[in-house]
Amino acid sequence: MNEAKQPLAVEAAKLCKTYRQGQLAVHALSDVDLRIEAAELVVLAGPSGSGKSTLLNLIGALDRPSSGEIKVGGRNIGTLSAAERAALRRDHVGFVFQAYNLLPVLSALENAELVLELQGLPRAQCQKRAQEVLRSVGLGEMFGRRPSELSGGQQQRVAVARAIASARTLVLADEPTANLDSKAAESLLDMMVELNQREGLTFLFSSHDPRVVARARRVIHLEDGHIVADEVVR
Amino acid sequence: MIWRLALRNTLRNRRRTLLASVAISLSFALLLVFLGIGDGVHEAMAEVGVSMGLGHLIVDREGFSDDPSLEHSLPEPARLRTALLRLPWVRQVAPRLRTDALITAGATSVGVALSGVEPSIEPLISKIDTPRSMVAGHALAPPDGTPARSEPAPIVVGKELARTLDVQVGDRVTLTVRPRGGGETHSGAYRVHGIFATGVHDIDAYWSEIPIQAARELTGSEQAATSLAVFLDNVAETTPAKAQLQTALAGEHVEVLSWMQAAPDLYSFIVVDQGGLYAMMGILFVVVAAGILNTLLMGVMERTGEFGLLLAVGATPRRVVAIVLAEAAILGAVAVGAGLALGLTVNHYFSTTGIDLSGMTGEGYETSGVLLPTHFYAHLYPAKLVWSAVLIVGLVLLGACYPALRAGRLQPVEAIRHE
Repeated sequence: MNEAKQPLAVEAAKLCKTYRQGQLAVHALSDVDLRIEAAELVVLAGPSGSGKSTLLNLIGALDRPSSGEIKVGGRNIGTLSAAERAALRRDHVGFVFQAYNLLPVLSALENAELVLELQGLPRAQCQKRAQEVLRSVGLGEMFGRRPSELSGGQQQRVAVARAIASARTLVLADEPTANLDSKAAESLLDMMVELNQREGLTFLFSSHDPRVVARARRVIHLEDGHIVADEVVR
Repeated sequence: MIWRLALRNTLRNRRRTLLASVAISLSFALLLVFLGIGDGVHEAMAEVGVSMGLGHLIVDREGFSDDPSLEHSLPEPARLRTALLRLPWVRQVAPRLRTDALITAGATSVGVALSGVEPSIEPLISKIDTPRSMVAGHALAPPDGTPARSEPAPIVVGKELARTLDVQVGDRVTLTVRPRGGGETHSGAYRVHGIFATGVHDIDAYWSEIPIQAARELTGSEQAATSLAVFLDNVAETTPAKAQLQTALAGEHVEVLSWMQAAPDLYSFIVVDQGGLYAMMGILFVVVAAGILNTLLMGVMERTGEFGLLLAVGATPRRVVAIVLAEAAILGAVAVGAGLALGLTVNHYFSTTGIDLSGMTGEGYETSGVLLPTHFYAHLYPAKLVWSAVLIVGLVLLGACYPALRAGRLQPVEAIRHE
């Protein structure tokens, strides 16, 4: 793991997100202040509706804040255009979703290559890198399999491979173990912890799975859109 | 990546893709068949019109179309004809001397259009003075090719005119015309050499032909001709050939008319008929476009989550739009390929075997002064084929625009959670 001082991966100040539901304003996040260092492994914990996914979406540049400021890799999400936010997601943020969200018409290798190809890298280079990361997540023998031919745990590993293939430093995982059995969940989490330690990748989980929380070094508790606790657990 | 994803997605729901492809390819094949038959029929109509005393192009002396009298005849038709025959795209040039005449047999007289023709040329290009049109006697040129020798000069008349005059082959008739330069009328005696039937009432009842030299002698026109009928290889060449002819004959004080100008009723009928065909195809296309839109929209809605994922991991909306358009392009290309094969096969059959309408029309039916043949052959022009293919692919892409834009405008946060 890289011990040198690194810039902040995520920095948020007075972050608010309000949704409109008809005439009603729903405050999904209110005055959230947050600093996440590079190479941290952080879990956003809290009950449903606490604002975990909203915060993850803002950090992942999938959404824009209603007020306040959020910076990812030093770039202020609120001031970026849609195209700039797309480029930020492509080049700096990796996503792992609860439902795996692999493209069913692509093989494991092609799914892992996806972001690399979006970055415009030559096909051969994409393939080489995708093979490396698939091997690193334990899927070295399954390059040609389609998602329908993989187990849930294997699909989520492909999703992780896709998230880290382009050497991105921040991986956002939204309930990554929710659809996995216990063994697959444990295996996946161990692998992600290993990637965090070996590659120096910053992992930010949104989860209330105790197995995820147990592996975190820092847990941020959210309730009703507020950070109610921020604790370093290991 | 765009094309790989598009191709795989196209193959994903094979039944739906197949149905959409079949609909497009059948429409395209139908378009090609309709165009082929339509153009074949219209071309046949035009060729029949052209061969009924016209020509693809008609060269007159300047002012003849405003005052079609012998005074406005071409003074040196032989020199002009020789010059025209040198043009590589000119198949034949027929000199004609036309005037109004009164034909008399016994006590019966009928006003007719008298056409002085070159007997050795007319059978090559005309459906009037040709052995195949003769129901009695012979054309002006006898079957062995030697000029007819009869004293008085020969004349061929229409079947209905012969009936009106109560004449048969071998009978004598008298023609009376106003000569060139005016003055007293000239008359001459002619022997009925043949009786023709074209199926067109106006021609069969009011048309007669004599050798052009006899017509010149009757009208005192020396070596003149009122027009030169120019024949091309194909009716489709008429418009460009007219422009070239006008250039070639600049300074000759002649006017060049196309058959469309010389037979405006026939041309109007063809244009209106073509318009009807295009309108019908237009309606078919709207239905096809709606089908494509529906197919692709369903595909996009089913894959909302996948498009959301693409947008979430950094694909630009433009790239997502391109994927959907690429799917449409693949669908269109495959369908056009299949439609092309089917359409060309059917067209080939209709262009070689033809369509026999004799069961419906008997010996044919007359429209706009033209007796339509009972047997039509399809003729598909390559340019129309290319344009049709471009039109179909364009239509498919047009139908894909809305689904593509819808996919590109998805919000990744909502789209990715879509089941």
